[in-house]
Amino acid sequence: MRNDTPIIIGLIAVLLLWPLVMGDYAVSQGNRAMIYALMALSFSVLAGRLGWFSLCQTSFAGISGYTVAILGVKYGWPAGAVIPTAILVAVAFAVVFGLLTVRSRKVSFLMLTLALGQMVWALSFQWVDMTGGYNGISGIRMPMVLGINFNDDRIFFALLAVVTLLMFLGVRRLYQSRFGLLLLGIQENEERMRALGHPVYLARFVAFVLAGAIAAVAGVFLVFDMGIMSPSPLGLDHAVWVLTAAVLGGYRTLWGPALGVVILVALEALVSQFTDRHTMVIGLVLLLCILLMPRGLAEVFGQFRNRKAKSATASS
Amino acid sequence: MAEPIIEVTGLDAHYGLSHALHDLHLQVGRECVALMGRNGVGKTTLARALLGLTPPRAAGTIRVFGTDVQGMSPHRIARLGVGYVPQGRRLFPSLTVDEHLRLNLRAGPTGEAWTVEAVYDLFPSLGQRRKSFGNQISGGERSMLAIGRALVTNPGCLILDEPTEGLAPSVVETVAQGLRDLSQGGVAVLLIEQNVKAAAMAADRAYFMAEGHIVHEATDKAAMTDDEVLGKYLGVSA
Repeated sequence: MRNDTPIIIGLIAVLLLWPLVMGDYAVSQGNRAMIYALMALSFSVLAGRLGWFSLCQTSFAGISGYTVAILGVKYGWPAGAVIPTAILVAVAFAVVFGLLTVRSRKVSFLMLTLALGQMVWALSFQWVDMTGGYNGISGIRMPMVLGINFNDDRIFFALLAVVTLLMFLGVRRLYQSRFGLLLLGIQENEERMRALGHPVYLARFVAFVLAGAIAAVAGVFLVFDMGIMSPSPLGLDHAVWVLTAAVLGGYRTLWGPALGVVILVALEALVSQFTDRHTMVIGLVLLLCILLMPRGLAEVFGQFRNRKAKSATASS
Repeated sequence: MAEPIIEVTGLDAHYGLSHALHDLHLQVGRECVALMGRNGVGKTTLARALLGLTPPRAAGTIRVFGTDVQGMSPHRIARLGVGYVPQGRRLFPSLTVDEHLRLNLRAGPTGEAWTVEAVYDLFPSLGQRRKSFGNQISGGERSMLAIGRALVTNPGCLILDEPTEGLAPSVVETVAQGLRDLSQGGVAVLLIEQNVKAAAMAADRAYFMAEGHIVHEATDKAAMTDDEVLGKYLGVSA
């Protein structure tokens, strides 16, 4: 993997300064960006390492979000019990979905995750007794811990920034590990990997559950950030939004998905100031980006850096 | 040949309507055995049957290290200690030379004798290309890496499908010598080959295949390079 220490240092600097210098709106958009960056990361672990384009990663976030809302608001569980339970419930769903999808490939995987995601979405508004239907469940608040009020956007930002950074560094480690290499090899040719003695299905299953766990963590932050859980984050449009961000940024790289999310969030915030037809403008920008940079922004930057490094060594 | 590592008895295999292998009997001990024949006679089919890849409808038994491997999944067969070097090398373009080796490094029947560095010692030119990707190295290096990738699994048995195909004569010699050393070190080597020189250099004896049958067995080097046999089954002369 390319040396990305400057990216990490730069990112830490931005995350430290952002809540200190930026206004309330920018901080809340920053929170949203980090939550969706985690979902895009979850998507990219599968898409970039295994060639598996999933439309149900946002469902895992939705499941953990609903679990927080239901247990916390309806049953009055304390947050300390709600949060780990929510992640476990979402991971349990990932285990089941993983067993169903592990033998599928490419298009069949996409269709299976579409179907599973739509089932969870339908459940979220049809199981009215439990989920509150379209109205959802409101009144979800972060707990006070040691006198710190995590409902404050800036304190929430700090906590989320730490978790997001740790998750990305964890996945970075994963990509560099033998397991990460194994996934890449499986994407290229699973039969060859089998002949070399690697348990292909097991590896894919583990990757699927790991990606589900990342999305589950995103879901916990999502529900506390919004203060309300409704079916909309489980909808297909959100799944497609995450896919778009990851593809735009470069789903085969570690930082690409985060970059894609930041650009989309920034575009939405900027363009909507000038026109009501902001989705059309954004669509046009995306169209151009994907036509001109089919492998995503992060890979374009990477190639640019490589070329600079090459010309530097050539001239010295 | 005290204990056969690979033991094929009465193997019959069908793919769809075609009868690919007919009543094959073959044994490989701790030695290097060549499997020779023209294109399309069933050599690769046999290798794939040994490895459990796309299992054909088959009768007969295949034993590897004394275990009946018919119907076993390929990764379990590989974990018994079977290394495979597929035809055309088949490397991973997105992995570097070093990553190919690191990924597959594990203890096997030969313990942990084969390390990443040991492969670089065997093939020094590979050691200079550690950071190159699988599609950025020369044909000879690809062949060496495909063999190295199998070696780091520390196999007790190595199956190679035309590893010298398309290589320069000097590189063929390096590869053949490497295989010879391996078999003398106690690894069972089954070498599928059309290159008579490479086979004669590496192997102690040979089976000849034609149209899905084993049609001839050469029990020593002299018999392997016999002009009449080569002319009949390979269409070449030594």
